[in-house]
Amino acid sequence: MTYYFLDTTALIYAYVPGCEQVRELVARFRSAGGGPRVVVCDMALPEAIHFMIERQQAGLLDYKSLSRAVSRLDADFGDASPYIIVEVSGVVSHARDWMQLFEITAKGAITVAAALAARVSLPPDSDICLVTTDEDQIDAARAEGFTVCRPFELDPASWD
Amino acid sequence: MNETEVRLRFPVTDSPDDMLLFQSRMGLSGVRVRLPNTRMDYRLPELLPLEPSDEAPHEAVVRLRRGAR
Repeated sequence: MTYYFLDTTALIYAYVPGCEQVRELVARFRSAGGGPRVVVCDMALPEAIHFMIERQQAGLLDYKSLSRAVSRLDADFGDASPYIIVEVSGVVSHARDWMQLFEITAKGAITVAAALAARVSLPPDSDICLVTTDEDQIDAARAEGFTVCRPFELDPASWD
Repeated sequence: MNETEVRLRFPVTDSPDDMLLFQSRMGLSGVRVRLPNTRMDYRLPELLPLEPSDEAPHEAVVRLRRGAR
C-alpha cells in the first residue's frame, strides 16, 4: 500500500487542467478499498485558495469560477473530504529543523515535516511517496531518504 | 496519550483498518489526522476554466509560496 503525500503543487491538479494522473489518483483512492492512499496537509487549503485568487486577479479565471472553486475546496477539506488530512499544527515545531538544514520555505518545511511524521506512522507493509514539484522540497526530502516524484511522473499502472 | 485517549480524541470512522492505524499512530505522536468520509459518494471536481498562461499552475504555487508576485 502506497500513501501518496500530495503537496499543493500536486494537489492543485485535482482542480485545474494539466496533470490527469492526479485526478486519476484521487478517483482511484475513493473508488477502491485497497487502492493507493491520498494524504494532504490542511495547509494546502489556504495555499490552493491563494493560487485561485491570484489567477482571478491576473485575469485568468472569472470571478464566478473562483467562487465555485473556493466552495469546492472548502467542501473537500471539510466533513465530506475525499482526502486523509494531516493537521500541521502538530508538526510546525519540527519545521524549523528543516529550515536550518536546507534552503526551503516555511510552507515547504512544514509539508516535509508532515510527510516525515506520516512516514514514521505508516501501517505495516506500506510506503510513502511525496508528490511535489517544489525543487527545494524535493532536495530536502531526498536527502532524508524519501521517495519523491513529480505529479507528472505518477504511474496509474503501478496502483493495480 | 494512550490508545484509549487517542480513540476518544480521534473518533473511529468506517475507514479501512490501515487508515485507522495510521490515524492512531499519528495521534500518538501528537499529530491530528482526519480520515476521508467513505460513506459519501464522491465525484471529482469539475476542472476550472483557467485561461492559458506562460506559467504552469504548479509554478505559480511555488512562486506564491516564496512570496513573489
